[in-house]
Amino acid sequence: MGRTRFLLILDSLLFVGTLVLQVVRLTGLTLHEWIGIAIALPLLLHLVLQWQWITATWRRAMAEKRRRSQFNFLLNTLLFVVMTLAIFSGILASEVVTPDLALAAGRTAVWSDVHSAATNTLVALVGLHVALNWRWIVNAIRLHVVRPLTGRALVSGPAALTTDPEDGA
Amino acid sequence: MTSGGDARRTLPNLGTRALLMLLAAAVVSALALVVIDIVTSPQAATAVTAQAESGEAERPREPHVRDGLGELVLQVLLVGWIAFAGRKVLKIRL
Repeated sequence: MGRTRFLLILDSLLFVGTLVLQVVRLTGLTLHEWIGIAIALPLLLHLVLQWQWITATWRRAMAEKRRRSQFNFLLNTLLFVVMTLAIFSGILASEVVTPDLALAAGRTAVWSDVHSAATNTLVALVGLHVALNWRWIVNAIRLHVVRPLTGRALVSGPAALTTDPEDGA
Repeated sequence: MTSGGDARRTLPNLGTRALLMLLAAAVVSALALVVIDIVTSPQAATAVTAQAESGEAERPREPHVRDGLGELVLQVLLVGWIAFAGRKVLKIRL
């Protein structure tokens, strides 16, 4: 499996997982808590596989002072912090999977409030993350979903699927 | 094609990167613990624990798929709208 295809599947999984986690009613609390803990793994993989992109954005943001890269880096850092907070506060507010840990930590309702705030913020940040990487997403879907289904040639070509930090909206 | 040498060089890198990310996540979590510990007094903690017990009904333990799917569609529309509007604004601003 190619890198782009793998990243597309992984990122789609993360996107759908994040949205499903917003709706506790859909999964019920038990599945919600397990998915919330399990999502840490694809998230870690996403970050590790995008390492070159992260360092390149950091370089462009700091050395070349590009506004787009600076915004992108700030947004992704925020996304990491908020996602971490959402998972961590979810564990400490857990009622089913880690109730003993939540009780030991205390302040369950405070962590529940932190969890709600973090997950609400997450929706906005994920929306902006999608906006900034729009071109990559559209080209990856064209190449790996639309093209195999329709058999049509790409309009912009596979070269559009770079990991260039400036390759966004 | 990736050679065996490349793979050997890449795997420890991936491990180091994963550890760095886990370390960063641990730092964020520890900071959150400290901040919450400082900003909430023990009295408030006791009060909110009782509040948490009373608020258990807010989180449905059993799935309600039909209602949930409707809510999921709303979430997708919300993220889609943020992405669409964000793209328009960022195109102008950045």
